[in-house]
Amino acid sequence: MSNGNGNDKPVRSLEDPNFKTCLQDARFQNQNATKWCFTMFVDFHKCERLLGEGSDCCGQFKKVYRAICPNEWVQKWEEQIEEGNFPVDLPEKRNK
Amino acid sequence: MSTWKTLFLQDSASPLMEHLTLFHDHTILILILITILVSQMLLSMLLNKLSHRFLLEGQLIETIWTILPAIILILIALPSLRLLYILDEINNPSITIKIIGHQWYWSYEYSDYKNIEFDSYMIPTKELNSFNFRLLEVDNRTPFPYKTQIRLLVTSADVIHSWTVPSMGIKIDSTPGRLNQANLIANRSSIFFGQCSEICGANHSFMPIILESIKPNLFLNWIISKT
Ligand SMILES: [Cu+2]
Repeated sequence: MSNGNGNDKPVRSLEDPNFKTCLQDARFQNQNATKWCFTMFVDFHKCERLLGEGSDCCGQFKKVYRAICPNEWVQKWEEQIEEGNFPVDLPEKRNK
Repeated sequence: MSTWKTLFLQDSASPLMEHLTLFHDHTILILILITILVSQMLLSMLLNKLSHRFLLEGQLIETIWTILPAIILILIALPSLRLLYILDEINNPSITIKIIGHQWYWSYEYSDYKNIEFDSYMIPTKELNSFNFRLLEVDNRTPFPYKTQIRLLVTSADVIHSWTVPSMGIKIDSTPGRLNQANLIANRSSIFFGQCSEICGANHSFMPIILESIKPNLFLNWIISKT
């Protein structure tokens, strides 16, 4: 029951910050949330490439895109990144 | 089964639907008044002998019947706009439910805490119990906690569908390649029915929606019990 935050305490209420879904983003106030989802996905991957995989700072992006993007879309985009035909240029992967 | 009550709006179970019902009643009242006034005028025109030789114009009455409709339109437009903006508001939701329309079933994703996915198919008529509703029963109901703000995100995997629950005041298009956001909150625990509302193919009538609003901690138990 990991939630990406490294905090594995059991949840008690819906107001538990670990359980609670992401807040509204002031940049994306439209009913149409397509761009919000895509931006968060791209930001997560940019973040991971710049700060190294598994960086704590990128968790928030992941939480948001996992909460709002349909799983099918995420799968498709991850495949595209793998195959190198993702429509957004991502920074080079950092060698550890 | 069709009963007299199907002529009216369903009993509301969310503050938004309360507002919509009030607005509907307000507008219908104005509509009835106008209809009565116009029929009275038509009737008196038909039954009148029109024997007033010098009645050619009436500045005052013409001014009144130009201005009055404008005022009536404003009285409808302002509450309507207000409602439009209220419906658009997302109020700090506690959970997010993703809804994906397919030909011809709905699938749901809860991925705030764990990743829970399930499909919701209609139960065919021959498998129904005698107390079930024909064409409305599904195999997997959609649970959610009552008195809790919920963010709905609706999209489609194939053609356009429309995710609709009348007693919640929600009707939102499910469009391929687009995510539509809506707000859901229930006043009470109950079961709410809905149907796809965009002609989406042969089985358009056979992809119903059942929402089940339950106590928040029962909902949490359900989330935790899911693997
Ligand atoms: Cu449909």
